[in-house]
Amino acid sequence: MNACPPSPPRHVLWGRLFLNPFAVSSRNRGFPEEVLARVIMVHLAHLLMKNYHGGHVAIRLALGGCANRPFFRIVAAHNKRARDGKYLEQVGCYDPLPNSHNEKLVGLNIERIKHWIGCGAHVTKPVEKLLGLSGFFPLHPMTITNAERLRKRRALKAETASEEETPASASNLPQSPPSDLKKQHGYPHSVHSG
Amino acid sequence: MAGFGAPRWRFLWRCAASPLALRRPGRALLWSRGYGQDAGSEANKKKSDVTKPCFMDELVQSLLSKMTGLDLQKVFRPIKQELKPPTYKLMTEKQLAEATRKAIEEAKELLKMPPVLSEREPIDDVLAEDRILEGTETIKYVFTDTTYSTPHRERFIVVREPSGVLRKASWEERDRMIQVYFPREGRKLVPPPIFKDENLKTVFREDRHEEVLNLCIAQFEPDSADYIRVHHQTYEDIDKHAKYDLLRSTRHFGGMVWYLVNRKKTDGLLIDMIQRNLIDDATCLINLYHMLHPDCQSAKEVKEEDAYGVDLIKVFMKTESKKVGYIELALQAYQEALASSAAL
Repeated sequence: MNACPPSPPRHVLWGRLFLNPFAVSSRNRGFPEEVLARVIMVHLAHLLMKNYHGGHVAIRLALGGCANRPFFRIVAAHNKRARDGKYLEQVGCYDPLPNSHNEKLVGLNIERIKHWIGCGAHVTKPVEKLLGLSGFFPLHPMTITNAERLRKRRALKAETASEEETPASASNLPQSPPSDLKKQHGYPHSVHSG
Repeated sequence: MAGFGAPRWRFLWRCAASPLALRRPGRALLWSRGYGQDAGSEANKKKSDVTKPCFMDELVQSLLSKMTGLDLQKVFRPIKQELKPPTYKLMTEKQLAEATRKAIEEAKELLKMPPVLSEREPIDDVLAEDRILEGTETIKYVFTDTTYSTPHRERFIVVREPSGVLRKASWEERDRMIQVYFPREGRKLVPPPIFKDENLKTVFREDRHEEVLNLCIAQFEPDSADYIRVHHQTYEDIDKHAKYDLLRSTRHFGGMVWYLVNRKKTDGLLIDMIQRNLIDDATCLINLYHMLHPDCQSAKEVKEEDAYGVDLIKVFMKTESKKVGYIELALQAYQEALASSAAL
């Protein structure tokens, strides 16, 4: 299903197999040059290992920046690569610290994101949440779930606070979140707990 | 994620182009990354009055460029640049003529007038209302589409407010974001304090109008409120102190004349032109005035009488101007000077 399978760097293949008979590797060193010109040691096995078996391209956040100053690049990279390692293409950036206008800036190269998703790239959860907030994807269900959970927690806290203030009155009934909000999003009630 | 399934590809962003394109079809064509390009004049005619000329009309532009003049010494005066020792060339008459011709062409390029647009209307377009997110965040997210090939005017820049509302970014936010991701030379993220009203007054006292206008063009978009405000204040100050010569032979002169003629404040400029013996420029000015205000009295009289040169100025002076005395004096002085030089 991977439309864009990873390939080993071409110069390595060419160099080792075809072009440079005078490339002296450690195994070929002892031999005189005339012999080397005819007999080229071909090292192929570890080249085959370079293709990640069963891997896929992922669009994810790569962390950069300095101490106490994170900065994320939204990056299309192989799944098995290091988080901050070699990537295929940088496709956006995200600054988690708000600026002087109280904004968090996210840059998205929509054309290239569309291309990689078209190639079969997977998108990690944080990037999905960001894209959902931006309107490019639908809102992520966990965003909504967390919002509802927060709301419930706050309602509960307010309730207990008011109960402590007036312990005598027992008329404070727990309030459930308004049901029309859930209906607005069309999410079935069973998606989130409670 | 398993329950949610693969994301559906229905993009919530509206595919409509920017608000400009919907309301004024001609304007959207003007803007790609650059500015100051003369679009086809037909496309820019205002819809309200078919015969009313626009700033970009060829006829208007030719009149304005005639009035601007072409003082090569002023256009190519030394500006702040890399320090190089001067080069001297030995040329024949023919080569000198060729070099002058090339210089004139380059000067014409430098004198291309920056556009005059009306103020842009504010963007207030809500794309989605997700009130369920209210209270989860205290900070708004600004999402910018950094695709290299889209023109800046059509770029999608959306803001997700803490209340959960997803709206298109305002013009100021747009300008800031585009400057962050596609920085332009000469433009700062925060407009420099020279554009504040108090500081503008100081700058005008030092006769640095052209400098301010150049900085303004680099910093602001031509249809932004700040650009228009700074330009109007500069023109008002020049008109008040009759410092028209500061802008002559620069690319701002056309804009200033357009502003003055639209508001019928041409008297000072007319006097200045007569005093400098630029009668052709004065006739151009009056022709432009008649083009823009075809219903005024002097236009009708000129149509009947078909006056030229000094007569045209006299007709205009009697009917339209407020400083009749000054213009008469200036005309008299000019005619005396002409007579005395003819006598010599």
